[in-house]
Amino acid sequence: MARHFLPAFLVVALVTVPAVAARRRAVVLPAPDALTITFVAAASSTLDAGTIAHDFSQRSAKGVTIVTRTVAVRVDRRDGLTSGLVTLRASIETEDPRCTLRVDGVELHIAPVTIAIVPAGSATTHRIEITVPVSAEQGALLTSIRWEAATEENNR
Amino acid sequence: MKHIVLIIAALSVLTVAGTASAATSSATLTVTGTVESSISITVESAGGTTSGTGTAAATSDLGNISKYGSAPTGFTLARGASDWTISSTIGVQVVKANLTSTDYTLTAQLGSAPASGVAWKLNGSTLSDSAATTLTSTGTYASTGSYSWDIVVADSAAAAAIDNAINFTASSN
Repeated sequence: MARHFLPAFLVVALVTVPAVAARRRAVVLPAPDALTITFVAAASSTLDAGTIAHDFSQRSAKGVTIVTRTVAVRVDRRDGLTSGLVTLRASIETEDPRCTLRVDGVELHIAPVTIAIVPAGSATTHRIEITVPVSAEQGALLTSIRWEAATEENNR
Repeated sequence: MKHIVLIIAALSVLTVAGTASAATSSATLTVTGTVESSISITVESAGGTTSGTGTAAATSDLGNISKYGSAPTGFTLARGASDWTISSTIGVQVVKANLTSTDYTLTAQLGSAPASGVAWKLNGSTLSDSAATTLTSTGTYASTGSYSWDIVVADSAAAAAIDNAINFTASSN
């Protein structure tokens, strides 16, 4: 059976290869890094949570202090097109063990997680939640979030 | 031969999938802040008809008190030869956040000078409005400390309101 099938498969493969190559030439695929991520309305790519002091009157947040900030993110295509969707993912790049970070309710870890699928060329706002347990020591907090954007075709 | 066919087929699939390369990018958002230590004090209980327990501003209403009347709610009454005392307890809790301290010092001071012939005592120490009295220097966080509370009224004291405030201050050690 295989003896009969192999020549037939090779013929199909040989016929198919030029067709695929032709498709490759015809479609201009964006190169890696053909997207840019911009933090809109931020002085820089730094988000200052300010002073994080526990509010003892908030009994719902017993044991932790939660500070929220909003950041606007825009993903642009370098080819100037504003159409299409982009998958936005985030992960912790620099970890501060005294806090946990959530973006739009999704807890961040070292491995990237999908935050949202957003339109290219438009700014979208995202809620950053910084949670500090009361057991954490006082002092300066420093952590960072790595954002990744990928065009939708990358995920198919 | 079967194996060869399968390998060729697999390579073909991978080649086609590889044509779907996509644009990617990454950026870093640095998050900074300062975690500040804090402590909180609450009055958890007290004799009398209380309101605001569990907060830092509780009120205790003793009503009308007299040597030969009945003791206010939550109090006992003891009659002496020339004075009388109503006794109860006050429960105070101190909690901490983002602090390495293991215990605290608690002091109390009257908000105003007591009426003539009236003495306010906590843990047996007479309080004044001019200086703080230390109740404990080894208070345990998140545990309600109970302090005996006595109001001693001399028989010679004029019949009048004895209103006052006890201001507690906790300091982390």
